[in-house]
Amino acid sequence: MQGSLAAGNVEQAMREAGELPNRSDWRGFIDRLLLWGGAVLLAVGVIFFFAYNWNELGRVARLGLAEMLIAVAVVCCGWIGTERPAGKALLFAAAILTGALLALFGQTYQTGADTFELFITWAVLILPWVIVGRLPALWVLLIVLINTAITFYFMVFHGLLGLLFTTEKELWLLFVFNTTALALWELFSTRLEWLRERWAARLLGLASGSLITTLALFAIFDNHKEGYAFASVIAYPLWLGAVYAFYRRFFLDLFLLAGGVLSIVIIVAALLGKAMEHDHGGGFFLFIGLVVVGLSSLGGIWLKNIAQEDPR
Amino acid sequence: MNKLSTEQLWDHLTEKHLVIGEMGLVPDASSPWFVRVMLGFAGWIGALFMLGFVGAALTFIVRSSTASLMAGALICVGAAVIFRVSKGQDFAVQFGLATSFAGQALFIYGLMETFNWGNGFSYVCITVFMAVLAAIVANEIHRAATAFASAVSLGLALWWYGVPYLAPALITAAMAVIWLHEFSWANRGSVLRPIGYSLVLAALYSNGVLLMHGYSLLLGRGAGGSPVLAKLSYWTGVLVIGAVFLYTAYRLIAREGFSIRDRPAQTALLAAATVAVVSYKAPGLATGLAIVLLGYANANRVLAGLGVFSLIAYLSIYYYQLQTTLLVKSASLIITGIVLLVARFALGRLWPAGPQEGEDHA
Repeated sequence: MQGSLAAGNVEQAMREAGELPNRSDWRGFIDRLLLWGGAVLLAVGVIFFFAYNWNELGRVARLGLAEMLIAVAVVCCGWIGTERPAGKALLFAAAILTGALLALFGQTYQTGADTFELFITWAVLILPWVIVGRLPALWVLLIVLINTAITFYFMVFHGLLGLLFTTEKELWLLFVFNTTALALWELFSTRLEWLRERWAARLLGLASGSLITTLALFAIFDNHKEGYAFASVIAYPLWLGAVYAFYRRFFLDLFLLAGGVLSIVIIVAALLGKAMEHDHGGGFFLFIGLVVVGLSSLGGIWLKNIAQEDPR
Repeated sequence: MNKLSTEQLWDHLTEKHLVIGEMGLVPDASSPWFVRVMLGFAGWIGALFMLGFVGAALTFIVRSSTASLMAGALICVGAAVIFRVSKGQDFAVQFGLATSFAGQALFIYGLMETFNWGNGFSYVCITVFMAVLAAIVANEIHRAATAFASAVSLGLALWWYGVPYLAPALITAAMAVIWLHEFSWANRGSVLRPIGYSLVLAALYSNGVLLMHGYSLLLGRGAGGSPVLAKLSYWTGVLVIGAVFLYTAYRLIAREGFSIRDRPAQTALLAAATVAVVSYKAPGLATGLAIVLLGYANANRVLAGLGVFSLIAYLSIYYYQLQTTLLVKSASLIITGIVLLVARFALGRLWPAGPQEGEDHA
């Protein structure tokens, strides 16, 4: 007789299998949730407070308050130590508050600095804490700040060759930065255990993949074929090959392989659309739709087979 | 307990009378969640081209709202038949997905054309139509997409009728009920789990994006757009979300075998009640925390991750919401943060960490 598990027994069976958290696990989890939730809400609440620009509170008091909060967080972190969760949470809160202080400084003294300068200064100022903190979330914060700085830089300097050219240049810079960050993350995570957070590497992979796919789309639909378009045509297959080689052969990560499959579906649909752009009949749309369905099904089967063969 | 081999585990569960019969290993035919998400995106891309086909080859359908409405519904019925007869064959499933998405888009287009693009009743129709599709079409990706569309349409309908804050509350309550009963309703898991995930996303959307413009738009639009009604819906919404958060905490505490008389249980409930009260100006926090707790309790990393994501996303969107000033928002966040840290301090006193606990990396 084929064995069965009654629906009413699922929870108990999972508990017996050790799949559900026990009291000790719960204690540790609640501790971390309260610590990180409290630290982040406090820091974000302070940012909201300064953004309100409360006139009744003088400029010296506002700046003093921001500086005092950062000082308290850093001193407490030094006292507790960066190896303990509380120390890491304090350092993270201090890193967020540094941004609030810089924004407040610019707002108070009307420094005339561009927004990208605020983000780059913020990134530079928190770099020592990021290094000593040994916390993936701090590194991700640093990477997000640099991405934001690059984006704002290109919003200020539009360049001389038109919007499209500048957009491609911006996307290229973001792609190179995020791909380098991903490569370094994967490299160092083999040596540093605290860096082995897959969510962070996947986030970087997602950014890198989205950017090169967008660049490839630009290359397909750009009739003038600027230098950047040719670079995209070369870089896109190289990126796909690298993703396949690394995440299929060396270090299995189905998430990023699935991203690669979706990227291929998008690019093939775009290529077909471009090739048939002068054919406005219904058959053209139906054909591309069926190709998309076929390709994504094949990709899904391939990924499912890998998951079953190698459930790492 | 140490991890057992599959055979050892089966023997252990048999001894405990939790399973009956011989162990039979059925290969897991399902794909990881991100593969299903990828297939869903690809389905949408396919649907766009199929819509292009309808627009280019069957122009008479797009020109008439009634024809669009009926053709959309018929295409969805056709897709449901494809799902049923294909028996999980990959290409047919993906084709059914793209076809159904195209049919849904056509149906919504026809409906919106009929009601001049924006009417509470049209959103009610979409809510019901999508809910029916979620119930009858046996495909997890399709079920998640249509349940999400149904919940979001419900939010838009309630917004239109002047009670925007009810949507996040109702969606949060439905989401909590599903995930709290995930194990006892396990035989209906293939129906409820995708709906549970879609309600998590819909709660995030309705708490964040929908309410970002809700306040200002309410002043001038909607059949029942009176400030009194909006205020009433706000307080009802806040109370329901707070109650759901508290009930979730209570059920999880009871599930772990704590009695209401235990000090850690009392402290946890007190902390949950305090968070529900002090975050009343930011109800998305209680929703996000409830999702995180449910994800951890059910050993569901995706759900817990969605909870963390929903908290971060909510804080980002909350900044731009117009229903209150930044000063009030900051006070709400700071006080909630302090409550959480005080609760952690109390936890350390009432339930001290063992030698292995408290040293984990965050």
